Amino acid sequence: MAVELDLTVRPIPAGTDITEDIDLRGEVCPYTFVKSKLALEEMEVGQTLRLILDHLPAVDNCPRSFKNEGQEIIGVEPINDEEWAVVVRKVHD
Amino acid sequence: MPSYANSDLLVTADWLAANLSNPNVRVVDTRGAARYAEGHIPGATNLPVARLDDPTHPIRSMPLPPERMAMVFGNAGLANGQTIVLYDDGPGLMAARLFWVLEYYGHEKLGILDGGLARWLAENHHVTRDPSQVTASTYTPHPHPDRLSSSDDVKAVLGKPGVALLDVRSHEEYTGAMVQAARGGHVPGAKNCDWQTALAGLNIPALKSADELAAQFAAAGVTPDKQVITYCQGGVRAAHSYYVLRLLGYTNVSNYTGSWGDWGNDPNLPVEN
Repeated sequence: MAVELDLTVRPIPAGTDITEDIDLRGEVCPYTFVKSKLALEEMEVGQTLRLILDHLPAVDNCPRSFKNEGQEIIGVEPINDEEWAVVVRKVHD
Repeated sequence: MPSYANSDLLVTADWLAANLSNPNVRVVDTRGAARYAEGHIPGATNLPVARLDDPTHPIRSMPLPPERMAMVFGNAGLANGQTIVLYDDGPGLMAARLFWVLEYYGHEKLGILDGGLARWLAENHHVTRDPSQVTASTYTPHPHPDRLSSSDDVKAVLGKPGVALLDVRSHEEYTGAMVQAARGGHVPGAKNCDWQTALAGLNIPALKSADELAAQFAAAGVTPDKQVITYCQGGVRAAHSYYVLRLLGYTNVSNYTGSWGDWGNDPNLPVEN
């Protein structure tokens, strides 16, 4: 049985400035991370990317992968019963 | 060149075009709703595979339970006796995931469109933006537990001859150089064969020949006489390899759908780097 993941549901602070959205609804792993990583690479350090996801494994995998790459996870929260938002701040190139 | 042992699981665009009006054939577009709306095969029903996992299960990549899947499939117009043809617009990951889900739920007549939407278009078949008229039907799932492995199932076969654990992630994920869970590495004894090595082309997706694929799997110790368990990070890439093995005629194959997102996060399970 999987252990509870520490990244699941971390409310996105109100007023967080979102630089760019990427709509990944319908995408599955590993493309959810691949596409969001490519999007983040095009952004400036300090900017934030909001991922809109509906593939549940990606809700765990994307934040963890970005965290492992040294980027900052601002929050992970459900939008509705089927969709999630993940906000990542680019900390380094 | 020998064809695949289960060549019925790979449907040509020409066959599908000739059967679009066949009431016993149901075409399923496995992409998200937005891409479906941009253009899909005429008559195809949209069943986004990204939304077929159980949000109440602690393992993220577990398929919806039978009673909920019955509703989803029924609302999409799927019926038990139909021939279901699946497609996406990439190398087949989404279609393969739904292929595995359908086989897990006991569907017998199904296949994946060879080359997906890219080949469909390349061969001058047309698409439409008109939503398909779908009549809801009754679908009764018949779960085949032998097609879905849990971490307990995998743990129980560690080190056993006659069982092949197939890690289909990238080499970096396999070795732990890239970590996507609390721990990096792989299941002890698992062999690495990146799912993409089954592909012969990406612009118009195609699989390698049966001989090439058989040789690749044999080199990894994955032979048809063995019980094969595929896994990746979240059960999607593993479903593609599951599909390829089924196409080659392997019968004893299952998808450890929890995959590394489950195993790598459980400190009680052994890891090899």
